[in-house]
Amino acid sequence: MDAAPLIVYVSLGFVQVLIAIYMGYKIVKREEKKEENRGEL
Amino acid sequence: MYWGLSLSAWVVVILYIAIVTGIGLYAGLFKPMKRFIHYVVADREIGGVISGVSATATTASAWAWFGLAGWGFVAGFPALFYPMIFILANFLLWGWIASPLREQSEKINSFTIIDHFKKIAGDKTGILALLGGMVVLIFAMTYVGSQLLAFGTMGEYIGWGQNAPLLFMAVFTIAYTFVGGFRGIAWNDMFEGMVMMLTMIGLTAFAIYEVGGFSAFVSGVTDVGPAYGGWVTVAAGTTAIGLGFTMLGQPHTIQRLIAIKDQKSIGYALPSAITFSFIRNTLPILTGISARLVFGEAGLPLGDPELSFLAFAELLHPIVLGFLIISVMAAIMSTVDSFLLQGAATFNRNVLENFFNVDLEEKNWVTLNRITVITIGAIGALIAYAWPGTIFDLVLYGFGGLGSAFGPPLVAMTFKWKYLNKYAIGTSYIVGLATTVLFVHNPVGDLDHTLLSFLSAAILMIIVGLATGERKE
Repeated sequence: MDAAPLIVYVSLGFVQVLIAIYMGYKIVKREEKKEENRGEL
Repeated sequence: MYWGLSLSAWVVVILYIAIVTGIGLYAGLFKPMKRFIHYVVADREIGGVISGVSATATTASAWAWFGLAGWGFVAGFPALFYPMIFILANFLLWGWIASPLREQSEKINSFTIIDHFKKIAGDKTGILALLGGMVVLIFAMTYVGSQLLAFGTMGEYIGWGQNAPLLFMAVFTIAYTFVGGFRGIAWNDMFEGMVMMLTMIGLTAFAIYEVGGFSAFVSGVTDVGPAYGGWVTVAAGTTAIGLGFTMLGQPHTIQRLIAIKDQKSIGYALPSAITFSFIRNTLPILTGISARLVFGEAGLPLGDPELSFLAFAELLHPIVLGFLIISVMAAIMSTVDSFLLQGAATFNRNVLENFFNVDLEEKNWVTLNRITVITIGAIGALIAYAWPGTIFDLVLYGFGGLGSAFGPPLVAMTFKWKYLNKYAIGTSYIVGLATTVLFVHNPVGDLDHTLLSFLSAAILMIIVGLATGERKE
């Protein structure tokens, strides 16, 4: 598999991009929930 | 051709300069800058996407083009290990360190990372602030010098000579940093980041097309040799880990974490920073590898692998050279502006205010910061002018030194390590500085000097922390 190092390194970088998008989404949702709770109080 | 460039390329360069100037001026007029917090952290009002992209852009420097394309050209696939590590370090920075640091910095009213360490360690003597301030100042001037020298080298290739572009870059970046403060820097870094991303995507796509597509790219790499198309080597691996993890301690990058608007904005900054990191670290390496396959060593501009990406401009419309020049300018300026501001803020806040107890009105601190920005820029230009070595000899000092001095305490702080007292932090500053100089001049086998310096500072910091006891809150 001549392209293996290329595929592995680039894919691992890309997976981190996907995880970052998911984590970013979770952080935004968590903070919005906190804001809502503060508003209710 | 007019001074080495076509008219269309000049239009691109002049338009870029006009936009950056406009952003700097608008930022300066956007809100009155009457207080230290306004000039140095833009009143902690910078949004998430701008913080993420600008943090990555400011870490990029000229290395993003010259260094990575050159590394790809020389090493091939093993160099691709580096982006993966860099992205991981950036992940730690935004996903793990950012949130507690932002919260704590507002609570204790810290504006720079040195200021932050001084306050959490409870150092009332000001010695820790002086020490940290001097480390930042020394490496900030060195780093500014390295970036100005990089633009001088590019100017030489175009036919402008070295000194005129070097001087222009210094004056221009000082001017918009002087006027716009941190807000101008962050906005400009966002714009500069976009310029870098678009040119990198366009040039890499063209480079792989020129090789003959993906299959030809892979078979071409294999033909160069087994190591060129192989897995990471010890040398490339330790360099990647060293550079990736010293990124954690860069004070100008950490400034974005302190200045970000709120916790919710971190949710936007994280994917922005990681996506940009992925693009800006991976694509120049692929371009460098493509240049090796298309031009070989004999066909490079000035015979220098670090200029390999510029070779593709000769196959395209002359306007492309204009885009590559502004992309390099963007990489350089996004780093220089931040170091100018960071160096000035650190010197004034930590050395003058905290150590020498200088007491000024807030508006006078802003004026003094602006004067210090000019001074640091001027000294950086002198270093670049007089430096006898290569660009990246200077970068080795700057990036490695800052990361090794400040990275270990930052990580320890995020772990809530209770032994992170003023002695432990001071040890990391001193050992990070000293071992950077030591290992740059005395390499240890294939091991990268930044990794050795980082580990030395971390180990000694731990020993001193444990020996001197828990931190008093």
